[in-house]
Amino acid sequence: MQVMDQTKLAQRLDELRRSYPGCETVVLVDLSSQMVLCTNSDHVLAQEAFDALGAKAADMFNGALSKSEVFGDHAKTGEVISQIISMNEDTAEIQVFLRSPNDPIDALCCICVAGIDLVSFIQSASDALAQIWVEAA
Amino acid sequence: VPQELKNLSSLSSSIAILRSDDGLDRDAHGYSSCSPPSGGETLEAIAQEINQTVLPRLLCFRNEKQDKVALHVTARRVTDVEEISSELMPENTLMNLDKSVVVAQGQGIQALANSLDTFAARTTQLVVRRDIVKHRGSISNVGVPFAAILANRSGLTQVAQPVSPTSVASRIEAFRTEARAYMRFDVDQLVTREGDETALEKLDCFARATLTHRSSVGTPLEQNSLCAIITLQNTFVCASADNDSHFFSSDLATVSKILSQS
Repeated sequence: MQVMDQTKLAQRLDELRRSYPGCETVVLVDLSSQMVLCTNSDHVLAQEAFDALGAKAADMFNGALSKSEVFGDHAKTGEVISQIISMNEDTAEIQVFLRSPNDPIDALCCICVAGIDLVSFIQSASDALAQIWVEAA
Repeated sequence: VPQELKNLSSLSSSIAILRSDDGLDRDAHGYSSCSPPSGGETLEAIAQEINQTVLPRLLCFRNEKQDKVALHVTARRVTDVEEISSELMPENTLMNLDKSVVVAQGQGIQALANSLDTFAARTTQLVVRRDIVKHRGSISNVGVPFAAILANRSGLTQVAQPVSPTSVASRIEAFRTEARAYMRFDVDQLVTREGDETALEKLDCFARATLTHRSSVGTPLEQNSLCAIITLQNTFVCASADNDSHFFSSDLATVSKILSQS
């Protein structure tokens, strides 16, 4: 992640979450270090919860599955994991993970309620991620 | 005092408890109002508290009759029963109330569910205290979600389930009708393989890689979960329900449509 204005970064995350009331939490993570760079949430969450989200993102994008023969040989298959959407019946929440196409060590992790318009939300989240990269450049 | 409650009291004394500081207005005993406070929605309010609790907390619920239900909650699941007022437990369920809900996956949960039913029926003003428990370890996935507790009620009061968990099983059915390719595994044994052969080849690689790496933290093959992994070329979906693992080859629009259904 390039150095960027923390205020602008926080503003981008805030704009995204406010545009989608079904999005409860947005976290920007550095996948290489699993470091949480910025957060914005409806709920009072402890740092451990954000860290767990960052660790999950890092494992999904860079863990064993990403290095398997399906995704491992990027040059040959072009199968780089760019987005992950997961849901668990018990928590009834949807987690959306987006990797920055411009800077693959950055990822946006979002926790949404069921029923959110995912197509629209993912597009907006991707735009926000791109904007963050532009502003950091 | 029944022996079970004596046991609970003795266990309570060994746990150091700190009041949580969540900025809410509290009474002298540390309780804050718990919305929605109307009697018919007590179970919903309790469910809401549990579903918002990620880090280990001791949630103490009280009503205007001073009935008390104290539950240990971690990762939105009830892991232990700390205390339940004896008024909430019918005589014949006392023997079934095991302190550890995790271990007591049967009668203990039913006893808890029935006690909560009684509590809800006696409650019009609900308050809650969220205590931080110092000696309760870290986040864990053990425990019982509130919906599972309610499913064990014997029907003392008919109250709508406060949590409406989105069903992974129903989404699997939806994916199956729309996916390009579908595979189902019973543990590691391939049971079903249907759809476009080219898509199946890629899906087969994905399925076997996922099954191989399922112990990995981020590989979501835990029960009743669903995960879509999206690349520029493909969208793979893996899901787990009823001890089977399901894999689909799909596209982002279909994934979004099916997951957006609430």
